[in-house]
Amino acid sequence: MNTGLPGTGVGGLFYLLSVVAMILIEIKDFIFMKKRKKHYQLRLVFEQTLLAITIVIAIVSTNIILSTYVFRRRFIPTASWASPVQRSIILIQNHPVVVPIILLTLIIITTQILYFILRYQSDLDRVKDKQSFT
Amino acid sequence: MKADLTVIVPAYNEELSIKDTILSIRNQTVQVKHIIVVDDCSTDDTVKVANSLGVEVIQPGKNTGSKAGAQNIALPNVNTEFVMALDADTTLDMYAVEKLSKAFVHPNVAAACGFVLPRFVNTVWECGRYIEYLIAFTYYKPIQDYFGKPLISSGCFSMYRTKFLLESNGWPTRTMAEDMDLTWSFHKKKFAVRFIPDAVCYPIEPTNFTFFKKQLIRWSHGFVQNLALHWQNVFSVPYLNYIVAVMTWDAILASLVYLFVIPLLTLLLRNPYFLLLYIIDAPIIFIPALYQGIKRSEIGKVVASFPAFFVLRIVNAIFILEAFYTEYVLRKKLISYEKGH
Repeated sequence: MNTGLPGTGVGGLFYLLSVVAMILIEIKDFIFMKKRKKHYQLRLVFEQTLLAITIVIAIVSTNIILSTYVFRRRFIPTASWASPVQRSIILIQNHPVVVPIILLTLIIITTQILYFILRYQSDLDRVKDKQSFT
Repeated sequence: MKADLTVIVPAYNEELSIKDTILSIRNQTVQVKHIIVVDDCSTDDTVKVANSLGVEVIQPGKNTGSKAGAQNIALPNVNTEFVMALDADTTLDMYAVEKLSKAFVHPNVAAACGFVLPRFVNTVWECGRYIEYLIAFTYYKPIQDYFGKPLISSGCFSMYRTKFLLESNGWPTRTMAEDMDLTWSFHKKKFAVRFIPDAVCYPIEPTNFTFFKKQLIRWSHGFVQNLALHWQNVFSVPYLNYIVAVMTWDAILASLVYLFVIPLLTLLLRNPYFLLLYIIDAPIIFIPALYQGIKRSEIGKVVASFPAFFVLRIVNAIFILEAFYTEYVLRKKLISYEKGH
């Protein structure tokens, strides 16, 4: 099933960032010669990087095409003075990137907090189990 | 060469497709030791066809009620190191077993799955599913595999290390998505799960809305049920927690956006440009699908199938919201397993 938000979707953006993380991991491993990478792993990183770059180009191109040929207005960064129609256009144009970025940031922060809480709870349970055992 | 592998094929009224499935197992570059067909009280000639092909056929006294239940019936008859679950309407690429076996080099690997592609791509449902699979198995799943956390080892075609499967008491029957349930249990136990893109299988996808609907209900309720069951386990596993959180919120919010927000904005602001949001991500979605299409020399098929993806996305949105509403708000758990096709 695929029900991602319009635009990159939160999922799409998450996987784009995952590719960035993959590249950073590879660079780190290369610098510290941590482990010898298998051929398929390097191929995977290369393929995903290629896809990610192309997707970013597609996002930028979509914005340019919409501005130039559909709305016939150049990109406007703020909308405090804009008319309702202009505001709609700004929303449509920037929605594919802006909305997922905001949502993804919130999701990542909440998930990480939940992770720490759950880990703390399981550590606590482990200590309790140990104490009751002894 | 012979693999120490048993293939379990659960079947319910599969007389038309089971022959191709069994022949595709027999045509593997690596021979499997044992093929077991579990006929879950079919009313057609599934047993006859399976028997004519010389495989072991098990018939439970009454219908087990789910695919997982049928697969579990065969588990006591498995005495090989590895076991594979393969749907009776799914055929394998001739190298599938050989490629998938390579995932088990590391002793901690509990499960491995491969690339899934619809065998027939004719109707709008099959076309949409084709694009969905191309995106998922080209873009999402390899990244999940890199971080060691594939979200699901697909139920239609997965291989397991038998001892790990037995440790988990076989395939769980408590949710509508036994594959997700088992995969998340493996992640929790710190067993490895792998995705091998070179191992390809070809299931028959639903050809009409009736069957498609049944499959979507099962999948969406299965996801929601697994979320309720495993959330504490899942959210304490690094990276898997992000995948599940992102998937959950994306599914809920996107469904609300497609079904309510976009139509409302269009009407309230009287700006038809808002309708562009339904297809604004077309170039982004097209890239992974086209990339895989080029690799498989199926560019024409990708281009022709692409519009159907947007139809499926709306339909998916309806069913995912229905599942969340029924399971969480109405507290009605879907318990009857209806076969999708």
